[in-house]
Amino acid sequence: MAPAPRRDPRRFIYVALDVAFTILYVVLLTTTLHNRHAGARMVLYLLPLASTAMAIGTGVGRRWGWWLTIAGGATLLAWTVGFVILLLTTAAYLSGVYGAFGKAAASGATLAVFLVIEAVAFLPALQLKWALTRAGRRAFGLAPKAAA
Amino acid sequence: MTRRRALALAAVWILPSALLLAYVAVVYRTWRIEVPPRLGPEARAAVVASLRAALDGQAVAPTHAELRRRLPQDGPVVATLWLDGVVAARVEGYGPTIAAATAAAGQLASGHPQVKALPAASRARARWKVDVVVGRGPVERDHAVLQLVALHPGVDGLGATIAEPGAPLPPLLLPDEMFLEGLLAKKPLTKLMPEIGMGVDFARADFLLAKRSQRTPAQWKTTRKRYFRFRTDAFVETTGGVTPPLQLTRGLPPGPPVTAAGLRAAALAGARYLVEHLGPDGRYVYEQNLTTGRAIPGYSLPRHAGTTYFLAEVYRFTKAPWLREPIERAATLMVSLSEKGGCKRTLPDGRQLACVLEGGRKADLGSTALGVVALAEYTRATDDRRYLPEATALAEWILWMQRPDGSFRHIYDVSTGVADDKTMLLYFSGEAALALARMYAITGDVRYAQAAERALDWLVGWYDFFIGGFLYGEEHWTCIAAEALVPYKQKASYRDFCDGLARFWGQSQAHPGDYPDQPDLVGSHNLTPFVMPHNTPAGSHTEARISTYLLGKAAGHPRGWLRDDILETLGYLMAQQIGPHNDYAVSPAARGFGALATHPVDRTVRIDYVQHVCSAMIRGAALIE
Repeated sequence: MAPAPRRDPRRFIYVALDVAFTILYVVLLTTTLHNRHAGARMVLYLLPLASTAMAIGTGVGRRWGWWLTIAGGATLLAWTVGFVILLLTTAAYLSGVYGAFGKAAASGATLAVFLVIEAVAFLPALQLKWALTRAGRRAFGLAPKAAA
Repeated sequence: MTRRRALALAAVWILPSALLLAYVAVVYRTWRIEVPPRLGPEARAAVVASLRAALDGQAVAPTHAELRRRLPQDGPVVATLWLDGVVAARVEGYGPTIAAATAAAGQLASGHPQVKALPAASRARARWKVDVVVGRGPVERDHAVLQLVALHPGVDGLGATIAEPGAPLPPLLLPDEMFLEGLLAKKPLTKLMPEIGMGVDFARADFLLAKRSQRTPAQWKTTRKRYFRFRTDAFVETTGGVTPPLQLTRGLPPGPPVTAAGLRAAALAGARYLVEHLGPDGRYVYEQNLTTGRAIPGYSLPRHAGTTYFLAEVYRFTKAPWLREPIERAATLMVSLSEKGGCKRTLPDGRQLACVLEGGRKADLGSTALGVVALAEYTRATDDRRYLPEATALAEWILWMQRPDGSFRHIYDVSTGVADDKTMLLYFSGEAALALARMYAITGDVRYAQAAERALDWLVGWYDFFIGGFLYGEEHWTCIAAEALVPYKQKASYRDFCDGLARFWGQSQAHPGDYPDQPDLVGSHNLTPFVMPHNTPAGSHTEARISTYLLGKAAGHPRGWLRDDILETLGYLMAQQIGPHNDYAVSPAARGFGALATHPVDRTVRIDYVQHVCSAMIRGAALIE
């Protein structure tokens, strides 16, 4: 039988951060980061969807809430990795065809990588780490995982 | 820490980076076309000698040691015979080495019916251009974004291997053919700047490739094929073969050294081009395509006036007698337009106003301002004051259009006599400031100098905001005007502004090593190596930077770095100018000597391209001296 969820303040902090990031993503995507390609729009809207999933999962708790948090966090991390790979592909492609990526473009791409890590990957990395710990599982009302 | 844990920790930190690095290397190697060192002058001469012998029906294989180099996929060596700006014959010789492929091309050329049909005089006049295909790579045609940067413009050619048994050899579009056929940089990045384009017109490229493989477009569509990019070592025979064939990059050989005499000759060549394109009615051939020699419709009065100003400026520096009558012809047109335009009026205090316009009822500030600049420059250059009454009336109108804060209204309704207080257009305020400064120079009337000072204070003061020193508009006229006003007043605020602007432009200037695959762009002004740099901004920026240098010099602080930047850009622009050494693909109908095209891969010429670039050249010559 699963133990009753423990009051862990981190749970509420993460829910608040998830909601804040969801709002930030939606505002940015509807006001600034427009894209006329439907495929690209779908990829971009994964961000608020995944952060909403994390907020709901962490807020509700229980087993399915834990899985929802894990899925949302993993989606955001995978999104970041995919975005970094796309940036590197573009840089390598342009360097291959043009022989120069340009100092400004190279530093711009590096900045974009750091910005994406900070804006997309940082929160899910911490939240996933917490959800996978004994304390995190207890906060969701799950039994701590048996030690290997 | 256990050994296993230490290894896991190291793997966590190293593996992702290592994997991404390996991934980058794979992508880079896939798209990269590695090219060997370019052929030396003697090897190039040997190739051309072999092809020249082929014109006389002799097949002679070249023997130079460099030509024993192996050719990937057997080349080919593509030899194009240019006669009076038109392709007289084109052959593609395949072979395992450059020598063998050249011999094969020569064999084909000697039996080519169009070559045989050429009279001896034409054969002597014709020039071989050779493209040794030295590497191939894949091309991305389908991705919505990457296809904008599918080819390195002017450096990559496009070909297609036909995947059918017994298929003909791959049809090829050479790197220079890509832009001579108008296939490059035609897709505007934004509607706001339609002239800045990227990408390849693949639909037309397909049409040309189909034609080269002797198929209809419908047949080509259903043909199984694989497209590829390729790079060539290109060179062209010089007229009369007096020097070894010239290496070509984007269809242009390296430019001459930057000397005062060279710059003066280049500026005079530009002036000669404009004079040859000035009609009996005083109008220029506004825009034309150098490849076809066809004029492109359209006209701009500010550009007419700016071009005439440049001709007068060249006359002031050189006193070349053949310039004077054409300048007067073009200036008289402006005067007659101001008379016919219905803009003349007399103010209650007796001052007469006039403005330049043609058709319609809206006069713009730029046409009149540059008209004054041109007439004032004529007066400065010749001491002939015949146009002074008209220039005075035009300048009075500019004064009338100025607001008390120094800014200007830009549009005037001739029918109602009312100026538009809202519309602001690019360049006009700086042009008006220059007009007033020049009027002060020829009349000594301090009203003009005071008005020019107010205008410059407003123009420079506009940038007094949070990031004002980091962003600038096209303010080249402002700095030219600031320098023109030096005899009346020198202000540290003008120097600071123009120094900042010159530094800002310097950031967009390519220096040696910036773009390893694009050494031909050194000195050009561009924001990215992926969009071709335009020649006109390089010219207008350099005009303003020369003024900035002179502003500093007048204040006792000439900037050495600025002078170096200026000369580097002038070197780039000299290489861009059309002359006997690089006119192989220029139609004689275009009379293109002295012209400057839009950019290296767009052979369109407009009068203001020549004006700005050659004005920088003539003033740059004085800078060297």
